[in-house]
Amino acid sequence: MKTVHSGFGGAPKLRRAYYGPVALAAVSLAALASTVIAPAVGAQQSGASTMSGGLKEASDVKIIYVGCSAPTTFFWARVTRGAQEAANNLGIQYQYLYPQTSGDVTALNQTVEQAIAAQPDGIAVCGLDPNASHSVIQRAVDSGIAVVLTPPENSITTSPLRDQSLPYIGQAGADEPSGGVLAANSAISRLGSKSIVCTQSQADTTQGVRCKNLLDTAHAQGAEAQVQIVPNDIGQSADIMTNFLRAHPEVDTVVTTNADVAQGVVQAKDQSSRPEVHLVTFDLNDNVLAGVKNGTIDYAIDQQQYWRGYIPVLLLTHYVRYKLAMANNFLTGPNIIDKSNVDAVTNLVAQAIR
Amino acid sequence: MATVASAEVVEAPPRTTSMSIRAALLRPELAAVCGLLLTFAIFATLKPTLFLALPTAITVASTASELGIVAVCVTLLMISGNFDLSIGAIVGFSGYGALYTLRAGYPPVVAILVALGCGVLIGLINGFLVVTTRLHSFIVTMGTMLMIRSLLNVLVQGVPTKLNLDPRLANFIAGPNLGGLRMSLLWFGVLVVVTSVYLLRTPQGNWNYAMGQNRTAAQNLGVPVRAMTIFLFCVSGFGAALLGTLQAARFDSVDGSRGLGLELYVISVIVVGGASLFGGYGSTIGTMLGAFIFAMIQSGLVLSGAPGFYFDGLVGLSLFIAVFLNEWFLRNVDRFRGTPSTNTRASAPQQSSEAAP
Repeated sequence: MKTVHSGFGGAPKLRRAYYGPVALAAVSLAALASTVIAPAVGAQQSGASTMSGGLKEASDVKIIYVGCSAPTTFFWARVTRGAQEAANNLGIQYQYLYPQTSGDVTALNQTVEQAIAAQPDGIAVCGLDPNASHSVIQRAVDSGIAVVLTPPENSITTSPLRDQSLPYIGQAGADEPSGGVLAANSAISRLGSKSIVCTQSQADTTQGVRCKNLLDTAHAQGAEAQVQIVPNDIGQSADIMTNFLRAHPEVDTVVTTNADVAQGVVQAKDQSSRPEVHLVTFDLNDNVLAGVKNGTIDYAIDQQQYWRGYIPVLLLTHYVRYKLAMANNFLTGPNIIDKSNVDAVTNLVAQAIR
Repeated sequence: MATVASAEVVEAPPRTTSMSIRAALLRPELAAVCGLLLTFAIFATLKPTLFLALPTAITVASTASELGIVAVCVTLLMISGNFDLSIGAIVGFSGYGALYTLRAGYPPVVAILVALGCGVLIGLINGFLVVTTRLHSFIVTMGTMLMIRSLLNVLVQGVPTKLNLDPRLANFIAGPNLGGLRMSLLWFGVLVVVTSVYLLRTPQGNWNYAMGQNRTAAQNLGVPVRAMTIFLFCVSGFGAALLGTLQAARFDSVDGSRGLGLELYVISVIVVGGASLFGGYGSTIGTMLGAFIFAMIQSGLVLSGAPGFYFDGLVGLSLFIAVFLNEWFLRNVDRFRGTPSTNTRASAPQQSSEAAP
């Protein structure tokens, strides 16, 4: 193997074959520097500079937010906006990291490992599968890093207060089991639903939790409820739900756990000649708001993801600086958006806040 | 290679009845026809009232057309020995091409053309990258798929947006104007006819098979492999953009995640339709049948009351059975003819050569 010398004068020229690997290595080093080296510098400084009362300067506090997805999706754009605004308001150092493979807990854990290596004061971790992330989160805690989980691991449906045996100093986000409970209860009380179908995309744990709790709650109240798996493709999901409504004339309410599918169900109601079927959806977008306004969607269940970004950064900063910790989980959802408040929300959706 | 040259020099002998039967048995779509009839018979027996009704025909035709439009175009590419993983991303991207054109104040017709042009342009880039870098098309199009999705997310911040297309134009493109059936069925039919004529009645169609069977031999015999590869990626991009345009018109909205995972459905449909994953064999009529089998299984399972959690699993199992029976059938056709059971697929391009003028 030939040696590649540095410098330009008498050194042999780099062969074209080396350009690719060299460029790749340079990009990798740059990426490593941006995720690992820079935060480490901040952490080294943080021990030295404290205020006169022993409090850590806000500008020395370093928080890393490990999200589940890129900050460019509808949901995470709002989360990261909230987190960034919290960091700006608090005057702290902030960084957002995310796994390249969205929805993969192994990739998420690797990203948490990268965050630990940067030695921040606190890490907010996306709770994709908290059980699967326990060991890596425990490593962070053992390293003296405060952790906030978002959304919460323990639901208020099982324990009303934050479970203090868990390794987090706080938990913030929508209580997904409560979302399923709210969907069932509100459909039965507001819409008089007797038979509900909950649509769920395959392999989506959040949607699965929503549907499971909806089914349990509906069954406990004597209503019928079932799950229908639908693909991500809007055309296919519309056609599947058309046939579902034809095959199940007893079903009077559809709850979609994904806002994109709701649009297909609006069309499915027409195609199956079942316009009387009620439609409830989780999460917001332009089309859902338009549907709530024109009555094709009864209401939407929102989780206010801006707060899911803002609150973990606030909790971590106040814990690092003042050792404050909430006794309960901070729940950002579920909330109902219907005709009474849809106008107020519409502008905020356009501004990427709701 | 014989398949290329034969289009010009071989005169087909007069056809006897046994040769016609043999030719029919060797058609790539024969197993798919049997699969379609079997699927239809099963669900028509299980749920006759619901399955044999117009709304079912509408949903089956809708799903089959939307998937089939992309699958037919990708079939041409797959026969040539390539595959395009970026089709799903193109579906999402083309919708935004239309949206931005409309927002810029151009007429809706221009927006549609821009949407289709986006697909062709991305196909052009894919094809150019494949022939210049000589990397496998899976790798190249995986890269472009990720880049397009990323660009899409950066541009739109993941926000699904209302398109506000002229309702008359949207209805003309994607409305239920064919006795309740959607216009996508018409566009699908046109594509199947055009691509079938291309494959079976043009020298370029023959080149397509030749490239998939032996790329080097095809090139040595004068097939413009590079130009053909670029052309076929453009066709694939066009098909994906057409679906993106149809869905944008049908739902009057665009969404950055649209088309996510579409490539797997497209592969399923093409393989069920009898095409080879390794190139050199297949037909767009078979792909059309594959799309209808897929749509029929999906609709039939819902109408039969398949439990929600088992739904995807049952669709997957049905597809596996369809492909398995397809392969079994093709292997046994050779036995039926009393010849060694190894070369049925290799014979197919010869069929197309014989059919070519």
